[in-house]
Amino acid sequence: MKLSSKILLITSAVVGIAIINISVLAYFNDLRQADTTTAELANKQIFYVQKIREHSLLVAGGEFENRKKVLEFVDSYQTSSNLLNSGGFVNDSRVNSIDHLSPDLNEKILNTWKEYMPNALVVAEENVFNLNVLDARDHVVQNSDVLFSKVKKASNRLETFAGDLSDVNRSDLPNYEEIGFEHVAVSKAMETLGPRLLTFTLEVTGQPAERFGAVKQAELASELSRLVTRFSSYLDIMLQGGVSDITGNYARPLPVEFQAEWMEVKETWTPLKEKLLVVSNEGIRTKPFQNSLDFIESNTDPLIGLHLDLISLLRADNASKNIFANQIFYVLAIASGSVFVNVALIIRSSLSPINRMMDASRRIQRGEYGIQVEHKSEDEVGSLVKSFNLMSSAMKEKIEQSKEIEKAKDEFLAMITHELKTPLVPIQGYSELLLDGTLGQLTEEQKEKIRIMYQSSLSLSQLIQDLLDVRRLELGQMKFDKCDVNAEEIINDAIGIMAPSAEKVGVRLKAHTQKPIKITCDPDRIVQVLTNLIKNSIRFVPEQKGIIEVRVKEDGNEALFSVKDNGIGIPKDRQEGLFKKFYQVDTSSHRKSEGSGLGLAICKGIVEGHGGKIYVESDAGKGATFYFTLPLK
Amino acid sequence: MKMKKILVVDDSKVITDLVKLMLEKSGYGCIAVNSANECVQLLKKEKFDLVLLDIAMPGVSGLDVLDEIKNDERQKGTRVVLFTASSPTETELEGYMGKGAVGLIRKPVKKEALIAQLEKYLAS
Repeated sequence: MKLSSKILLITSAVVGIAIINISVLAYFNDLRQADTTTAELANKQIFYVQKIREHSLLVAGGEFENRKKVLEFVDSYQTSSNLLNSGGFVNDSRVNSIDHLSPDLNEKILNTWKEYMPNALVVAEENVFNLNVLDARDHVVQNSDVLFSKVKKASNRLETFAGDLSDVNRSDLPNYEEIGFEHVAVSKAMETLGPRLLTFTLEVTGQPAERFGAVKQAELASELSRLVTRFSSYLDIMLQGGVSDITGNYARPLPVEFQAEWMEVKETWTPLKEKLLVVSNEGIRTKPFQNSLDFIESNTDPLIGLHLDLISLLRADNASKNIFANQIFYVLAIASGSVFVNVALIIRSSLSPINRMMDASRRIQRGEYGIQVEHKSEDEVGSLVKSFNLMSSAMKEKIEQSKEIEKAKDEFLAMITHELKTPLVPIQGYSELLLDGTLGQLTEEQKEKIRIMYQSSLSLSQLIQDLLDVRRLELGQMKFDKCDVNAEEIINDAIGIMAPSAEKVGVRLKAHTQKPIKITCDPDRIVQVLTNLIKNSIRFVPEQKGIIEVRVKEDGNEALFSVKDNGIGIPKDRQEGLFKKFYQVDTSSHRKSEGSGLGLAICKGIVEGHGGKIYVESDAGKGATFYFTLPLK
Repeated sequence: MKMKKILVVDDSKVITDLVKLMLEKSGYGCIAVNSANECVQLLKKEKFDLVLLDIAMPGVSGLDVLDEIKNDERQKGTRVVLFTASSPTETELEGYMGKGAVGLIRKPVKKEALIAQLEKYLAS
């Protein structure tokens, strides 16, 4: 697969997993949001019911402005109930349907509400107060004072009279003592009963209703009716006689002369009693209202209980959804992680051949030609590796070929020198024997020609030797047998060797040495350098007038040799290639002197092999000076 | 002084003739043979002061002959000087000396130089 396709694939995988991650997160976020909204709504229903009860009680207490509130909360409850049962949206937030949680519970709630709601509507719309009761109350409130004062007056008279009886101890009224005490106790009780009747009346009809509740008011009403009965029975004792519940004794009616005040009391009491009974029997509120209020009172808490059950079911459901969501998140995290790991592995495996190629390149630099890099992929990197391997193999092949060529060259050179030298042995040997008279006397002319043959054979052996030397210097095969010698001796040896050829063409060789200079070198090879340089100069100086001066001096930590001539010189543009093998300054066919073109290359090889350097200074027509340096001892 | 006896071994008769001539003119007793086998056979019968031995011969090379001479107790006093037209490297040269050759003379060689070197080796 192509690298670009891989990148596309990887990118798609990463983008895909990202989109899946985002969608799943968004989905669960939405789900959680919906759960939260649903739970809030379910909790609010409890709040609505509580509010309906609260405001109903306020209505019952006469605060009619709360009727509107009751209706509002009924409406709110109904709306939320619809949402929770069929699903929907609150402020763009989704509400889940809860009818699946527990159909039984849901139905119970709906049925309860079906009864609860009409009662709430009754509370909000029906007349609250019983008008009869209100009239009766007003009567009681208006006439109580009259009753109290009449009772007080009658009671005071009775007390005064009873006191008189005890002080005087009158024999004409033998029964009064006993009667007096009973009646005084009853009248005292009636004095305190009066205000209590008023208090109870006010409380039974009073507000606020929530302070007492329906039950409490009913208790108050029956207490009021008991008080009325007691008051009536006390009044009966005064006027007709009867058993007092205070002492438990029978009391006779008051004497007639004492009944007048109590008749007064009865006159007020009789209509008052009727009103008090209306209050105690009928209750302050209208029947329909009271019934609905009672229903709300007794059904609010059970309804709330049902809602609490529903909320706990909802919570459990949400918790299980959360667990499921967490599981999905784990799966998602693992899937994402594995995608990223795979992406990383693909990238690594695509790029690892590059690292291996870099490593292989370094090894090739060190000479491990032909090394191959492993590759499997078929992408661009794979093709690159293939090319690299081909290149490496080709390099190995070329290197081996060139090594073989070098080896063949060496063998050829060794063979050729051997084969060239062998025929020279008799040519040179017999020439020599002919010249020295071993084989009989020759004429001068014959000798002269044989000398030419002899010299030519010497030149030929020298040329062969030079070829070998150049090759060995190139390969670094030439070994230098170094020792400490005097520079002067080396110069003298070289001049000694070259003197005969110089003399022959009338060239003067001069050695200039000042003080002894000790150098470390292979003396034979340095003599070879000097003789080559001198030989070179001889070829380019004018016959009979040529002067070649050989010098040596200390120059820093080196010995500086020079060979100076007064020859034709070397043009600047020809100096650069001077030390290359087979190089000829003058390539014209009629050049004055012939050389192999190897001499200077050999000199350079030997000098550099000693750690020195060789160079020339010359101007065309003004002679040339060759310099070379060697390390001092 | 007794005449020194030198055995010249070279596959080229032209060369053995030349060397023989040079040596005899210089006062050496000289026998020339043109193969390694002849050399070995001759050495079994006669004793020489020095063997001038060509290295590159067809069949058995001079170096094999050198080994044989050096392994033969009877040839203890026989000096072997190698004779070659090739230019051995320093390493090769060290190898030859290690085998027991006392020296090496390169072809072609001037008569003067040949005699001087042989005298030097005979004196060693």
